[in-house]
Amino acid sequence: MKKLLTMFSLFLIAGALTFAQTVQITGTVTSSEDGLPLPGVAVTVVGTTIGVSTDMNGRYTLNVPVTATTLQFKFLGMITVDVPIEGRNVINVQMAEDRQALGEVIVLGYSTRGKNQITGSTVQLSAEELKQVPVTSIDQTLQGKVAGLVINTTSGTPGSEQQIRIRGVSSFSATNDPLLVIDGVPVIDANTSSSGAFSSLTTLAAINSNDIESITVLKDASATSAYGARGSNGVIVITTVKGKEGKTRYNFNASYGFQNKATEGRKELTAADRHMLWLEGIINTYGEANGFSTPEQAWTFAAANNLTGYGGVVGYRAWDEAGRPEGDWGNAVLNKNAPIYNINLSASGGEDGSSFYASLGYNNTESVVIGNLFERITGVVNVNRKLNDRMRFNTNNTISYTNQDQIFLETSAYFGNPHTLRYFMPPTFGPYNDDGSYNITRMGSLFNILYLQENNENWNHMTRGLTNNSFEWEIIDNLRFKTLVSMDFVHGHYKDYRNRIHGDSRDENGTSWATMTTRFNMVTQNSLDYRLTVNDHTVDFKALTEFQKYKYWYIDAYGESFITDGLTNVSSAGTNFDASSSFSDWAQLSYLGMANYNYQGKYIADFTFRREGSSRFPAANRFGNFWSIGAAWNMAQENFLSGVSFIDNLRLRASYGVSGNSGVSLNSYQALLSFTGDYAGQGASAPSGYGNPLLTWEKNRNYDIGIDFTLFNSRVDGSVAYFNKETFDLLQNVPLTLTSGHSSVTSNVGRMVNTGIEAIVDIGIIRTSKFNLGINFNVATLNNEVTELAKDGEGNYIRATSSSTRTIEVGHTYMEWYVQEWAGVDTETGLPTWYIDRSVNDDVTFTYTQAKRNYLGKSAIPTLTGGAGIKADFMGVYFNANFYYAGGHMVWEDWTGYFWDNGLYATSAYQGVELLLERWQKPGDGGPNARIPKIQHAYRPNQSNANSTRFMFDGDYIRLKDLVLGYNLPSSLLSRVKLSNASVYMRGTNLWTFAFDEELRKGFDPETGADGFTGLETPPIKSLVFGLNVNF
Amino acid sequence: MKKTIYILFTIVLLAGVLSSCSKDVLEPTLAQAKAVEGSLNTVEDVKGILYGAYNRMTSSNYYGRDYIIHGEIRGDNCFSNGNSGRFVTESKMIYTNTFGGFWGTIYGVIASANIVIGLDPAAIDGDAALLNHYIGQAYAIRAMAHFDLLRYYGQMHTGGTLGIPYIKEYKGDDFAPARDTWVNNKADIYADIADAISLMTPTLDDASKELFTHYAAHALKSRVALYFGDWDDAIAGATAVIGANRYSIIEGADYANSFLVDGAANSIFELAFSSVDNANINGLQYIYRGPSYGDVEPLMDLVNCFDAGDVRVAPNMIGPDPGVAIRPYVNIGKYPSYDYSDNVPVLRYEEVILNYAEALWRKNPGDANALTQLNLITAKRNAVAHATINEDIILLERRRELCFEGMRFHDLMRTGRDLPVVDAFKQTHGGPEYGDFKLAFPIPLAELNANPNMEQNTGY
Repeated sequence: MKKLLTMFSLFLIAGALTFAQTVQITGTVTSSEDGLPLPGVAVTVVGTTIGVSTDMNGRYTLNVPVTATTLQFKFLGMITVDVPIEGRNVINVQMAEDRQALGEVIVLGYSTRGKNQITGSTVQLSAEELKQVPVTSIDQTLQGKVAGLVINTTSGTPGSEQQIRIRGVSSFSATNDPLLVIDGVPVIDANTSSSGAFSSLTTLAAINSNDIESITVLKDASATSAYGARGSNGVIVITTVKGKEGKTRYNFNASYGFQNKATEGRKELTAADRHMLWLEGIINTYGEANGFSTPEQAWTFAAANNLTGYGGVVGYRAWDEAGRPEGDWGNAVLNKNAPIYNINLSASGGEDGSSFYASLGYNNTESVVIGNLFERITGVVNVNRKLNDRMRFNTNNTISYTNQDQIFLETSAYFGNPHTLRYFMPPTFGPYNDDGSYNITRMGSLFNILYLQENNENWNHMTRGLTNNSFEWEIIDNLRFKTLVSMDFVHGHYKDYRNRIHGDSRDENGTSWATMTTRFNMVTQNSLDYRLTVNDHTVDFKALTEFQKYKYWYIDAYGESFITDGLTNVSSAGTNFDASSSFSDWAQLSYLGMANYNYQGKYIADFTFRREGSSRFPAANRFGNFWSIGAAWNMAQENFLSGVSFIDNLRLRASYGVSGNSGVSLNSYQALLSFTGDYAGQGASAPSGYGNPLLTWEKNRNYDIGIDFTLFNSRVDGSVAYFNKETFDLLQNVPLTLTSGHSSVTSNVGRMVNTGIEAIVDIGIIRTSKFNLGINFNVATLNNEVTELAKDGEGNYIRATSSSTRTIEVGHTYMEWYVQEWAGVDTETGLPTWYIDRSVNDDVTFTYTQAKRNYLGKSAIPTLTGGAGIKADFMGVYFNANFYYAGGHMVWEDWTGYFWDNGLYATSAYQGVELLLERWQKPGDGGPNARIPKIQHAYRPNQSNANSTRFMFDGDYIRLKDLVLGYNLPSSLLSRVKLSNASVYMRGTNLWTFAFDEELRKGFDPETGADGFTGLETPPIKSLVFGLNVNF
Repeated sequence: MKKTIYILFTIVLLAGVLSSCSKDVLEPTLAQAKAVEGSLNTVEDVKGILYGAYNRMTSSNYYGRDYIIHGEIRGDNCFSNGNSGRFVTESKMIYTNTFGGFWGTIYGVIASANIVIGLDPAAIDGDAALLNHYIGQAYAIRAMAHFDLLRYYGQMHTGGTLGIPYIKEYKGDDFAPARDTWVNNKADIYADIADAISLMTPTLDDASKELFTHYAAHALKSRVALYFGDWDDAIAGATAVIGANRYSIIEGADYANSFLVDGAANSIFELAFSSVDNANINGLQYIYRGPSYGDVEPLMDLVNCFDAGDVRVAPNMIGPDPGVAIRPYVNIGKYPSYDYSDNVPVLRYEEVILNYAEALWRKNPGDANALTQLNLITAKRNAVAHATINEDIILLERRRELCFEGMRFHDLMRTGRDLPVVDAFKQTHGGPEYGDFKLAFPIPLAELNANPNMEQNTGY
């Protein structure tokens, strides 16, 4: 029968050729995205079987009958185009990507599905949203783009770790970081810096964002349960760029820009103001009893009594004699308009089912702190080779070298922290002597960071090699076998040399410490995929085994006492040599089964089961089972909706399942004798862990219901989802009586619920060939409650933390603020007051210890986050802007006990901030909203600096995350210089920030670490970058 | 057919991969630690645990710093200048139950000692006498650790009867031990010291003085007995130490140096620190001087309590801070080394002599030997010999000899005194009267949370 038809066709064609006249039509087919030629496009004459494919250059030549009216261009993943011939001989066509079919392929890590085929809750960002963003680690690009994902910038120092929380916090003591997957494989996600006091360096900084094709964030059980015991904090799936078949195409992009602190930070006092406040404190404290009231008299009194010595009389006299200079330490440590530049060159191409992608990238980011620099070189080679019709080999390789130079102490108020310097160094002298040399005369405890940054040597070097190799074999039709071996190797080298002249190691005559860390992660996967199709029913099965082994080696050396400057290695040290080494490892073995059922694309069902064993748990309960079910209904494909023209797509989805968290400290189930101690030169052992033979995974039960919609001819696209995530068997350090010699035993006792609604919508307001305008919004709510904790001997729940500001308690938000409440400054006396117990009444007290701690109903976790964006293009000019909002939480301005001190910390020993000028001065000042009591000549007078809501603010803020203005050069111009497309752009990051609370606006950056404390780390950065992107 | 072969081949391949991943691969490596079970078989293993107990005593939370500093700032010897913010609250004696104190650390020492004490000696390979010597040290450590806890947490000076839980077993059955009376604690301490003395053979005593010895246990006995007013026991302990002829009062010319060298002639027991094994910036050296911390400074009342020419107030003992020009008097001579390497004296011969002198006088105020013993000290310090003896004079001499070593608070307590206010500006504790609840630390909240039988001290 088939043969007959073929013969018949031949006959027809022959007839046509013989009898009909033909005309020749030629042309080129290009992609509307990048202007590059599209090879392999099927060009047919509508109504006939006449057709050809385009060649490597996208060109075609076709003889068509004169009677023909229309040509059809068809290519997988592109929108099919019908073009009327209208008598032309040259027909050039641009084809656009079919987002419905191709653009919305969601990478889930173990599998890849069309957007309509998934049942889980995921958000995927494409390359265009990731590239050209001037960040040193790609996770920073996610902020404001993914509903329900919150990033806390722990430090703006380039290369630093970020804290990512997906759908809130779901563990007390195990990790809350999402699992990081690159090209289907869990990879190393660590800080390679060996000192927790210095800047951190994340392994993610080794990846160049230009080499990323997409990032998918998996949020619910249906999407994450495939990752079993590590999925409960969500999964971030990164896919690297792969080669595309066709003529080799090149991309070059370069950018150059400037960075500054996103917000100024609180302003410190001038020396003159500080002096004035100090004298005022003396009057307030001693004036009445000694009969004086003017600043002049106060000075005489202070001099007579040598008040506060060097910080006071001696220091101010020297300041006066030097002509009352203003030491501007805050600006001295800044590297203003710190340059950042980026250069990337990549090539991609291939033929006959094989393709490659190669790239070379260089990033150089100076920090806003003097001396500090981040540098990265990356090289990538990805090759996909067809071995024969059924076999395929794929290898992805990234090598990178990262140098984080002149890092500094920053995670606390260290005397060597440049950010500490601004708020602690007395302004009565500056960083330089009259002759221009550094002022390194000891003054109190702080150090001249300018000198340290020049004479110390502190850096992190990281070399990372990531190779991912797979072999695929289609054994029979629809049955595929794949084996994959991935290795991730991170070598970290850290050095901390402190000079002998000035700084922390002066007493030791200089110190040098160097560490080397090696992390090795190997993953092997073997899988079978089978597709079963029976009529309209399709089921995709997957069976997979995965084994992961992680090893960590550490070695360090230390020495003291240098007799010369400039030689900074341990080999030049003279004494007190010390060295150490250690090793640890873990392993994970998993069996995964997945089935995805699909009926006519209308009804989708998902089943996932994973059995997983981890070396972190005792042998008896080493293995655990994780699973999920999910379902989706593509309603738009039902007949009853086919008549509703404004609905393009409408689907309901729901999922339920259990995933886990194995991020438990190593060996914590074992009762151990530690041999790390020593005494009198001999090794010593001590019981280190109490041990819990019942230790097991933290788990979470997660359900998720959502609706996805595309309306009005794709003008409106969005989704709304509700989730409920209950984590249980939470690990809590259950306190043991300290008389046992142990403080706690880790047990699976806690329970916590996170619920929320997430919505995203994308609206195309104007869509014409010349002008497009669209807006988008995303919003997420988060509600957290702790529902179960360990109980004490009397059956009462035990608070899971002894923090003096926050606590974990049943019925409250995780780490809800729990603190004494500030009642302002007494208008009569100028003394601090606190509410005794505001849950009862508004009575106030002058005595701090009488004030009771109360819950504030808020934690440091935002309960409402969202993003809003606008996107426009006109005649090649494009513009977009994205705002980020976070709110519903409270933040704490840290270290304020010092620089808000209405006593000697601010006016004598260290330095204060301008807020102190709003102090109480006379009866009638102050009031319940005042934060600064009267200035006194005492340390921490009246305990005004004890923990209370005095230092707290509502954390709500809005930030302009991105602002992009660019221009795509017209192709008419480009074709002359043989470029396929080119664009220039300007991109601003964090250009504008607005905190809702007026006082917070004058203070530190509202984007705090996940704990809600503004620290003395490098604040978030704003940058303005100019770039050029060329394809040829 | 070919297809079938392929499929079979794949299945075999997969099965191979799966079976190679047997469950053994999930056994974690222990590279820095050993499982407790099966790790204590020889005398060497026991020594490791014992040294672990000593190591815990060197914690900066215990003899590494805090235990000693509290004995100085709760009184009239020192105050905190707040330079680094350390010991500011402690100097005010404002404690809440979130103050952890030494509770956990010292019970950690006790846990290590109890592992040694709880071993079945018959199951340990090695020299039995040496094993007993180790077990004896563990008893001495256990006694001293409980005594140190009791002095800060017991209600001896706040009008109560409660002491502390006396723990005699590691991982015992009682998960919520209640506080015993301090009277019973005293009996347990004496019993442990007696066991220590009988188990330790003088010939096996370590010459380094960095370990507890037979005579160190006697010295401890004299300290404990003096504290509780058991004069006969104090005399017996001191006499045993003096009779050993192993120790001597350090000569005045060697006084400063005796704190610099390890195992000086006057040292009975000291904790080992070295240039590579020390408390670093969290140690005594850093808190007593230097620009970064140097928070704990002597009060002028202490500086002025010496006779002119006394070697103990010479500039190499109490003098200007070399790091900070504005501190004319800081502790220079004790814990002097900038590399934090000095051993920390715990029991010194001079203290034993002072204990002896006092016990003799207390027992019989007419005993002339009391004054003779007391003046053995002044004679070697270039100080004026005392003409008479009374409680004030004894305390003065102890203050001069033992300042900065954490003894002052306990001397004031055991003699029933209020905390003296000698500088109202610098001393922020306000001089609590004897009996004030602040004289005992609060039981830490962490303990109360975990232990329903634990009773808090009054006032907290």
